Amino acid sequence: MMNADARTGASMAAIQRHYDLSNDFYRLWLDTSMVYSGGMWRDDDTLDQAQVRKLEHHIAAAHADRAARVLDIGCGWGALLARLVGEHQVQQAVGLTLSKAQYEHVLTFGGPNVEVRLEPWEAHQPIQPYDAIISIGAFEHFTGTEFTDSEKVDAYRRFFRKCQSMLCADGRLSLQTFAYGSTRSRADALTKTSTHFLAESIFPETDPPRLANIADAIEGSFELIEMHNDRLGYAKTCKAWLDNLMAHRAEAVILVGEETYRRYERYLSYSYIGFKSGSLDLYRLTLRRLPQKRTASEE
Amino acid sequence: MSNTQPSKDALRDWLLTCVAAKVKIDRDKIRTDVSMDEYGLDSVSAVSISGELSELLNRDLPGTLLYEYSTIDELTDHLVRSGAATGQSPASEASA
Repeated sequence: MMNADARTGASMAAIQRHYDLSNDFYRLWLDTSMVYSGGMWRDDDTLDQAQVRKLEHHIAAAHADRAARVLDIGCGWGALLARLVGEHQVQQAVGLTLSKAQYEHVLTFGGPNVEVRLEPWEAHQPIQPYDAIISIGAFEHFTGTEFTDSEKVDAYRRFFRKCQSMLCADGRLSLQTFAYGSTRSRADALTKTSTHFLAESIFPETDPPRLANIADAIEGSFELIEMHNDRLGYAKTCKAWLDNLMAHRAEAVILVGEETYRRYERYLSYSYIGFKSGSLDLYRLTLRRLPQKRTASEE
Repeated sequence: MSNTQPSKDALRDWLLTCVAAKVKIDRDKIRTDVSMDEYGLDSVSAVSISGELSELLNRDLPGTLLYEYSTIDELTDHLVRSGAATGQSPASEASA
């Protein structure tokens, strides 16, 4: 068995298999800013409005408005980075991604206040601490289905400790991740055809956390300030994406082929049902950095 | 309305048979006003029935349909409202 310390989540190749499929394809069914995570819906919001509301939530929760330096772990196509340096006058917004397509896309509009890096969070070495960290929809990729529960906690703990080491005193981390819901056990979920399909055909080397994993993993590095489960908001987002995809079927098939179109249609349908039924949750957590404990050798 | 569209009753009956087969419960024990989720209809079966329904009605339907309208009655009503079924019972069709 592999040493738990050596285990990491999705490789760059696995991430690129999904996210580098085709920017034009994703543009067909995501919102205009290409935000690929669950939106925060109110009343009669459009998909665009729900995504902006979600980004604004994380910026406020992390106290990132007008901050000097903010890190975005899993920056996607850069919508949050653009918002941080635009509307929120952040002096330096740094984005990490493992997707070459996303990296190159952000490079085209970044500007002097945005730095995007094709780099895993484990390898990131900031020149100065960050005032705030935001991570939306990346945490799901930090472990795979072959991880034991204990190995998952170890991997998440490494992530939180890394964030703790990169944040200034009292800095905040605003985290969004989907997770296994409490309607069934992870062991039961892993026996389902839909779970196998998602893990093998959509998100290779990826397995979401359980709430208990996160609670265990923050111990010693972060204090929980606030947490919401907005699974129905993610269900609504998946439905909006599916409606967009089906409305652009002909263009999508030209871009990625019939088989891939059908695979994405199936994936978005399963995801909608997962969030609607409670098999999947969607957590937004606001976390405050705890002081790092000195080791015996430092004293 | 086209003659190829099933009646509301026929559609409800078709859905009942389909759901019963997927969840492996006798169709007489399934109520059409109770959420299909409660009978253990999982995402794979729900998406599969939506696909079969698309073929039956010859229209492109989302795989999410059985969770958007959680009971067989709600789903049947939606399909009638959207013009996929006639809304008439076989008896009223016969007398029309």
